[in-house]
Amino acid sequence: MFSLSRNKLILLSAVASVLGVGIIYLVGVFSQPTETNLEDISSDLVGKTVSTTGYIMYKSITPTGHIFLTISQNKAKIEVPLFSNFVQKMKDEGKSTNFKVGQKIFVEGVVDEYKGQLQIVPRKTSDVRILK
Amino acid sequence: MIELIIFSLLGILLGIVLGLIPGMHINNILPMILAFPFITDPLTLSVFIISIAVAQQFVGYIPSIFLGAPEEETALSVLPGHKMLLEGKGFDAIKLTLLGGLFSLFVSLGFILLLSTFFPTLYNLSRPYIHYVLIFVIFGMIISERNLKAVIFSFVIVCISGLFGTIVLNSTIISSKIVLFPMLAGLFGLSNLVVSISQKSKIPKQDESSEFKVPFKTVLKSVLLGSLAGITVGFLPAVGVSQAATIMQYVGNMKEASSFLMTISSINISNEIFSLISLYLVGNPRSGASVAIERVMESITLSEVLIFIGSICFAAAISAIFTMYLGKIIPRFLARLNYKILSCSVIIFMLTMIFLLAGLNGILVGLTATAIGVFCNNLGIRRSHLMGCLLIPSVIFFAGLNPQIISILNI
Repeated sequence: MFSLSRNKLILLSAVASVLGVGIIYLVGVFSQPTETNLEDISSDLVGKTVSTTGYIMYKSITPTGHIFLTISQNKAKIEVPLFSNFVQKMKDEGKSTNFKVGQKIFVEGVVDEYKGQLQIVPRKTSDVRILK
Repeated sequence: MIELIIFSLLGILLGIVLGLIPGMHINNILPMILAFPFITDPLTLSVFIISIAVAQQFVGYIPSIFLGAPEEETALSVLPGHKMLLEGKGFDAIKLTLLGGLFSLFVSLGFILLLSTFFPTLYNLSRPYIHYVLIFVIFGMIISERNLKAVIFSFVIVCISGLFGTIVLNSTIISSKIVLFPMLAGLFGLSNLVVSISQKSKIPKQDESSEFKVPFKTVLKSVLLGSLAGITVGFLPAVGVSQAATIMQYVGNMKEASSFLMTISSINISNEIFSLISLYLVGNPRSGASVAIERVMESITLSEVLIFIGSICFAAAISAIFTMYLGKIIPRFLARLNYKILSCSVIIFMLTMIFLLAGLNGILVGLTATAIGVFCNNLGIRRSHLMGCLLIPSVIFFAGLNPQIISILNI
């Protein structure tokens, strides 16, 4: 009968844990989000990470420093919220936060739904880039 | 009126089926329900959705306690609940969750009505300090172990599970809608089953005749703390039911399975009620069910909220009766089965559900979570340290460090 001592079980489970976390990390580093047309983003994609491009059609800045962009492409539109700590991080890294209506931008982030409105929430500063 | 009752009963039936299947959640079927809004009027459809959500909350403890196969909401109930099952007290464990849930129904409604006007102020006041509270809880969890060796082991487990949670929750490998299922099912469900198999456990004949006694003081404390925690979870995004249960376990000094089961049930029920009522109170949906109701109803009036509250109570009462019945007959059936075969079947079923919902990446996360859970169990320390997988990412989120951490990890 095959049996494992407690110490061996501890060692085995510890190695499996560390190895598993390491593999998940590598999968996370190398996985690329799906490139999606703005008009194809629907509530079915909520929770998934996508990347897309669109033209800024509306911009608002709250007193607390959050920036809300609405981007559009072929009549479809979606909101892109940039929260204050995110905006601050962009500024710290010397990235432009001077978004203007009409600019084309690239956005990558998690699709979310807030008050019935679809959003793409960027996760890191490189997820938002001005293209034109 | 008749239509409301019929749709509520149908919702309860569907909620019971969903609650009995590990991995299935109301959120999985909401898109299908919303695809057929014409089957009835918006109010009746909302009552249907509410009934599903409430019934699933009550019945969800059955797979968690009897099979060790939890959902996100019931993950922490696996450990005390399944332990009680192996002691022949599975039915008592179910009764405790019902007691906590039903009491919490009324207590949380009272709390919500009393505190509703203060929620925005409470949120703004507490928001900048939440990560300090969470750090304090993590620190308390670690140093409350019985000796230095156990404290060191706890620290290791909190670090590994924290790193695991940070990577999984912040990476894009699994949809954020379902990421908690493989994580928590592995940490608390699958690992528990693996350990039970290795310890050659078996389900004994369940004691159904024992007089069920819990001191009123214990019930009151568990329900009050649970209801408050459930509401707090409702208005604080990024703090989940499991984190709140862990915090309450230490705040309330809950060492007994009975008080913990009542507390976690109270948290779930009050959170569900708050999520549904917050739609009217603060105009902000807090759960899948309330998002669906917001889409169905153009606006919500006070009289409609009262109908919602009535249907919550109706669904809770009917679901509790069904849960009692199922809680009595299912263990009788399980006791006749070979526990090893049963556990292996549940493990295969859970892995299949994880694969169907989250693909190969889900399996990778589920198996890693299982390894961490088994590691923690073999170290002989409390399994609640595994909650580091949610507590550490919450600290990072509330400290505003998410963009930095994602950039550093490059995920």
